[in-house]
Amino acid sequence: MNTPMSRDVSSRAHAWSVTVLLCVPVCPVGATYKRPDGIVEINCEQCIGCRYCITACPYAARVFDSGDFYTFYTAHTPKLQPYETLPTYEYGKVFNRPAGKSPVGNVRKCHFCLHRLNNGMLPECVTSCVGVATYFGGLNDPDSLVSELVTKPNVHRLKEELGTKPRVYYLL
Amino acid sequence: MNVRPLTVALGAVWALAFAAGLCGVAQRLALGHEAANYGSYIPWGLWVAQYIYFVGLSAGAFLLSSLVYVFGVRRLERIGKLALWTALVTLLCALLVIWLDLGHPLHFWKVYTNPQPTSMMAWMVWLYTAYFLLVLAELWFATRADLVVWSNRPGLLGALTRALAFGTHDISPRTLACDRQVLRVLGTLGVPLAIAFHGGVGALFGVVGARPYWNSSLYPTYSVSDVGAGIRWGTADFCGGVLLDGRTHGGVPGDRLPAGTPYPGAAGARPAAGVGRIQHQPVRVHPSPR
Repeated sequence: MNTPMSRDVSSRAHAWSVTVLLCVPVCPVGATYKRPDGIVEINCEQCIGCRYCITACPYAARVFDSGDFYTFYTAHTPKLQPYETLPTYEYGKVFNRPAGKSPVGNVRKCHFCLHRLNNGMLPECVTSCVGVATYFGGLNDPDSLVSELVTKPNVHRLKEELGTKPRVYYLL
Repeated sequence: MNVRPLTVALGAVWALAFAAGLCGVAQRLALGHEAANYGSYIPWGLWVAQYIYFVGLSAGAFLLSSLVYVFGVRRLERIGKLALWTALVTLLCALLVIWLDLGHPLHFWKVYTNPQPTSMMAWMVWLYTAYFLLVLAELWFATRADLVVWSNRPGLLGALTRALAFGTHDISPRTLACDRQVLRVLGTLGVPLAIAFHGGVGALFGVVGARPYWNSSLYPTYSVSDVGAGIRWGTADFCGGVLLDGRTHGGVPGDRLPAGTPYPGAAGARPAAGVGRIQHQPVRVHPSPR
């Protein structure tokens, strides 16, 4: 059996291109795809909201935006809070959810804060994590911090038996 | 007018169910999918379940009609048109339901303009479109003679059937035999198509590797049981017509033609020469009185 280290080194040589995406081929309209940098994106103008990609994702990484708000079912918050009505900036575009248009009715997912990456910033979860538990970086660069971290023996990935070669590594 | 209590009772049940369904559609249109609020683990709900149900019924009813129009089982002659009509109506129900299931129903046309051939769902949509057109064409050829006969009637019904007959008047035995040949060709094309689209629905679930209970090459063959449901539905239609009408036909217009009308499906008419291999036998539904 391969050790995690040797497996990671061999897959790292192929970098992003070897990641097997189950969500992309099932989309009937080609609305979701992998960008050259490896981040999987959803085109909200193209997405018809059939949710087939959600069923295909083994990691439950995709969600359907039904158009509800966090305060909708919560007691003591009878009206919409201002922070919920703020626009979202997915994929460099501006979306206004209260209008009921996209991304309401679309499938959404983590896009590693593309709007921040484009400005040279880390994803918000990495920046704001009080335990400094998350890292983000490019595996293509052998000298990067994440390249060093994924060669550690305590690294593992979820559902490797599916052959999807996910790019999220857990350090235990 | 003599209305049976059973008709009233069934009508009341139907009206209640229809009202409940209207409430659901109104909620869907007003609030979107907020009520269901699908998550990542259960992204599909009642809409998809209904759609699978109706699609199975449609395929089953179509295969039932093919027994008449392709395989020439004349014993089932009287439910041929009813089965085709059932196939069309249940297909429309299925498409309506799955259309409302979409997060953006008005974007559905993108499946036609930008299809992705690796997706079973795209294949399904194309197969449905082909099947829908085929059922429409087959239904027209199967009911053409009825439309011609009915177009002599006065009023709205006559005008409607005249329009639907598309200017055809000829119901001579030769033309009707020709209709049957067209039906046979269309039905022969339709049998593999019906199996393909329903197998495609099974494959849609079967290919999803992330769901262990779906991911099986046996999944497409579950259509067999659905098709059985469709055949039962067609049979129930027929028996229901008999029950409510009290007559031994399924309430299909052609069966109300006077005896002697040169139409293969008409009660008492002899089959046109060369059509069907099995001799026509009258269907007896009610047990004979003792």
